[in-house]
Amino acid sequence: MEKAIKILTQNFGLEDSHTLEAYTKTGGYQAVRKVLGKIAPEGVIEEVKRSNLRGLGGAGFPTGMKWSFISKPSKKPVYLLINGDEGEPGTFKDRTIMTRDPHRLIEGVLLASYALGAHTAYIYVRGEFTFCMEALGKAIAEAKEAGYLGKNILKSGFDLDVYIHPGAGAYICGEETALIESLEGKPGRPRNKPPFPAVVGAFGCPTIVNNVETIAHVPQILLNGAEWFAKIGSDRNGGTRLFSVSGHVKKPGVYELPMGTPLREILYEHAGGIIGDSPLKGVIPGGSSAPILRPEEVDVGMDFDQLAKIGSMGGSGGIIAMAEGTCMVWALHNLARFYAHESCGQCSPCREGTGWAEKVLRRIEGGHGTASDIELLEKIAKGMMTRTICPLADACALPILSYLKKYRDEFEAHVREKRCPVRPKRAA
Amino acid sequence: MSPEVLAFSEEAQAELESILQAYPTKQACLLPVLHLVHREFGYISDPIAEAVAGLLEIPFAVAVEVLTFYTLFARRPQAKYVIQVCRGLSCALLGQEELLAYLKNRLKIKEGEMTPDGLFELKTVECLGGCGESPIVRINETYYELQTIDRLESTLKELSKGPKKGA
Amino acid sequence: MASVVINGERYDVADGERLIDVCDRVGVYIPRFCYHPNLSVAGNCRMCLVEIEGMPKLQISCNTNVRDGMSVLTDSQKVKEARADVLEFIFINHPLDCPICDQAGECKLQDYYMEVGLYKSRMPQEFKVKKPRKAIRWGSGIVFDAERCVLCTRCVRFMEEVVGKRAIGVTNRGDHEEIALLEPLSTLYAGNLADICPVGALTSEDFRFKMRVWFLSRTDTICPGCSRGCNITAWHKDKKIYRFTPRQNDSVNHAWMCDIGRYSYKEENSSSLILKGWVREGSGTKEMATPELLGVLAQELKGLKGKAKESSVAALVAPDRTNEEIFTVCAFMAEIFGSSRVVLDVPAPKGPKDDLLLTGEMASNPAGLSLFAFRSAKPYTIDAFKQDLKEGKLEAVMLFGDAWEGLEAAWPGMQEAFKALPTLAIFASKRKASFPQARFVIPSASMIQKDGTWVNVTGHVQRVRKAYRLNRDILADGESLGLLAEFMGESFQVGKLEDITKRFLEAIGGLSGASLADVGLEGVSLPSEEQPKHLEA
Repeated sequence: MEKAIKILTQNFGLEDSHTLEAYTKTGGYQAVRKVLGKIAPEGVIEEVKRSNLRGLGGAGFPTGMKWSFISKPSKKPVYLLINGDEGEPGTFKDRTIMTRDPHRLIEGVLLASYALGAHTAYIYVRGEFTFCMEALGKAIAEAKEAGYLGKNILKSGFDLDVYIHPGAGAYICGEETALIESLEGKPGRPRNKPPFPAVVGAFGCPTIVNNVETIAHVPQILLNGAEWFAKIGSDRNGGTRLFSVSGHVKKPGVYELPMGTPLREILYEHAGGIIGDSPLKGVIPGGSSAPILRPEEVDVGMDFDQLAKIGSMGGSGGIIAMAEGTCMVWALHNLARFYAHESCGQCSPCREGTGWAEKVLRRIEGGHGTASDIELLEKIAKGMMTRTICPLADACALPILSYLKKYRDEFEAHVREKRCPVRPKRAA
Repeated sequence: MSPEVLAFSEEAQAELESILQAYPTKQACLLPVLHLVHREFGYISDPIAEAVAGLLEIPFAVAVEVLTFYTLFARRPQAKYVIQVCRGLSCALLGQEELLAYLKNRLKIKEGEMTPDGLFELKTVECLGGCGESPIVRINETYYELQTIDRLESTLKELSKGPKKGA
Repeated sequence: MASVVINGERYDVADGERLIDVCDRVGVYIPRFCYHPNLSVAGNCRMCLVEIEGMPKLQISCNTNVRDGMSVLTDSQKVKEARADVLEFIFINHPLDCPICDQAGECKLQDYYMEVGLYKSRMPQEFKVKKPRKAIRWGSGIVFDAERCVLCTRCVRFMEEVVGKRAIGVTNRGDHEEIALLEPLSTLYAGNLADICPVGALTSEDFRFKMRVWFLSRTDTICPGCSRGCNITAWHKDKKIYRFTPRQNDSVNHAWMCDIGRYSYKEENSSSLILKGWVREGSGTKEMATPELLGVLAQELKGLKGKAKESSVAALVAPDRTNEEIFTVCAFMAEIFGSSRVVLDVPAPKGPKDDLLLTGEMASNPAGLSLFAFRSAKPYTIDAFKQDLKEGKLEAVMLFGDAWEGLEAAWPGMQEAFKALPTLAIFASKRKASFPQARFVIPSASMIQKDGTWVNVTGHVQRVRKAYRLNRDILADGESLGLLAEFMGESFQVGKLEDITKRFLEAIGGLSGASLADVGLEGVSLPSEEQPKHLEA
């Protein structure tokens, strides 16, 4: 393998990579010294725009553009919220940054806050990730001690406080307005838009929500320049991203690779291929919400635009490989159950539709389905799509439609044979 | 019920103070305070919720809405060890169903139940975000990765050695 | 101003107005569960999706503000499909209990099902999410049924935003989400919860199972409970009122009413009303048909006319009479007796007062009464009346109305003071209003039995409507006075209601030229300088 470009994971190999010492030794907090009080916030936003950094939580929205939605000067305080509510099945990358290089995230938070004029930032960490909160808490204390957080940071006159906010077991809080609600001490039910968070966000103030991975990229972008970052990635998809690879691969794990890296390369070179060298049956390319790809589609370049072009999505970068022998009805049922469990319950199509889809799939998978159930499933998926406040209903519907389209015969076989023809033996 | 119900340890009291100064509204302190209280008491009953609501000057209804919306808060006393089997797709692909069947059999309880000695409680949970090391079992706050029946068995043995709840 | 096109028709509307409100106003109905014009936007039911030109996804019309040039379709194929789909989702976990559900007939689920649905159920019963909490008494007259609930959160928002108490919450999530009562309702506004619930999840304990709504007739009128004059609909059948429900009027009561007013319908039914008049004879009373009774009264009053330079006949009008009745009584006293002795400053009974609707004045028209009193520079006051009574200047007194508790509270010994009077006649509707020592009790039409207007606490003139007349002995005061004059050998032309309203409004100033038709369903407001003076206190 050629020498890979590592940005986010460059320090992962170091002993004590999570410490301030390890981070500063390898150029950490240099971007802050370069930028704070020396480059105007608008210049920082401009640089990030030109870097083609995209939102790596799943939406892929251009980060610099998002930042420019904050109108300045703001009469109200501006809040920066960092989304570390990693919960999309198949995704486990943000936690590696939070535990193994938390200072990279903190420096990114500092730079982004400076660009936005925010003096308070909250890092929203998934409730189960107590180890992330612990690591971040130590890192924040270290940074504060060293003068990278608090009042008059590096004598620049800029102040910033960073707090950790714990989630409590709700996938939906990864949606940015649900995250805001959750931060405010409410159930995480997404808000109607407009108004958008950049106008009315947390505590009624302008707010930007960015993913952990996205923000962790910011220091190197500002240190090495937008062009350097943009060049690493593919067209309009700057830099690298962390691909979480799991399922039936020999070497599951988090791989930092340039945007646009072919899926085949990720699966067969980095992740070592399929367990037992079995043939691949299907692969989810961007978290469980992404429409599934068949083996003949794995030459796609893994960036937001190329995946959208073939009808799937980049999403969270969570890749789940499924080998031949996997029952696709069973797999889809697993996902539908997840969405039904995680629906916030607010919008009727999602509240009722996700649960309904789960029940129909359970029926088909258990060999009790009828031919009309397949149509019904399609109808349920289409019925809830695009008709809700947030994209959770779509996240459930898109996989349903793609599995139905690409593995229809398997659904039909379940109905016809009144049993699962793929994995007939089930655990009790 | 008054906030006096919340008799905190000194350490917890200090944590509470730092939570209160981290947010512009008292309601925003709710999730961190609930976590704190959950750690202190092991569960959050209605009277405890009422006391938290009183402490943060928010309606009791809001506290209950939040408690029942999120999955990490127990509403009644739990077993000493709450075994959470991840049933996310990646774990399911790598044998989670077998692990769960084993645990049910081994502990002689169903999902959502507790062993009579109060030592173990069995739950399935949605994706725990540890798919790189599937299958995952979380026991209380600790992740046990790359689980097999053998590994689980030795963990259970280890945990069974400790003092029983209330002993 | 913004020009919007809705289903091909162009409308000029205020820029930024809510699309669903615009559609309501121009008569394009968009189905909804969660949206309520007097509550914040929740946007959760997704029934009000419409197609907006230039936007790929359908948008909810409750969270869309109109912009100039916006083009909207509310009945395209895409919209119809979305509505049918959303409705099916809402239905899948809903029980099939319409036959035993009291909401039947005014249930949005039923209405929309007939309109857009009519599909076969594709959800087997055994698959439905079970929510076993049925017919739970929430207190304050509200009954809750969890499985009928569509989670629109109107009740949650009503309690939080209108009442200011977060008593109701949404617990759990997904299809296990439920509405829950987490603190006692304990509000005088709980009845509204049953009104705003679009389905049968919250129903009224008082109204449940009494009558299917489709058998009831409706009369749009005004609540007689206090001087707020909440706009209401009286629901009745066979000359019996079954309930009052609030009617939307943003100048008065938005869409709400208090429970005191709501359940005051019971006092408007026959068991509480005077159905036949009587005259006291010796130690007993004798019931009489009203014309006969008025004949006897006429004989007693006849002798008093023109006996002295100043008439010895006085009248008192209670603060619950209509403007037209006040006007008529004053005109009658002037024309027949040449008397200006009409007391109009009778205080309203005191009651609960809050920041929402209850005014503390438990009568329907104290403002109309005081406005009419102040038209004259030297009104005949209650103090002057007391003085005249004490000095024995009065030989006959006529009382008009039911709301005398305020006067009695302010005048200890009132009943005693009246005792010396040779003739005391009361024209009243309610049994409780009758003075025990009155010689004559003449049944007068109650609010549901007459037409007229009231002026509310903020100077809003509003229309009371007649639904029925219980029997032939119950007369409007104008009719009684006409007969009385006739029996006295005089002539008193009552005139048409329209004319009296007009003359009343002219007399009080501020709305000169306005007619009954102008008052209409919504009422008209007096200009601020003409607002009732007693309100300034």
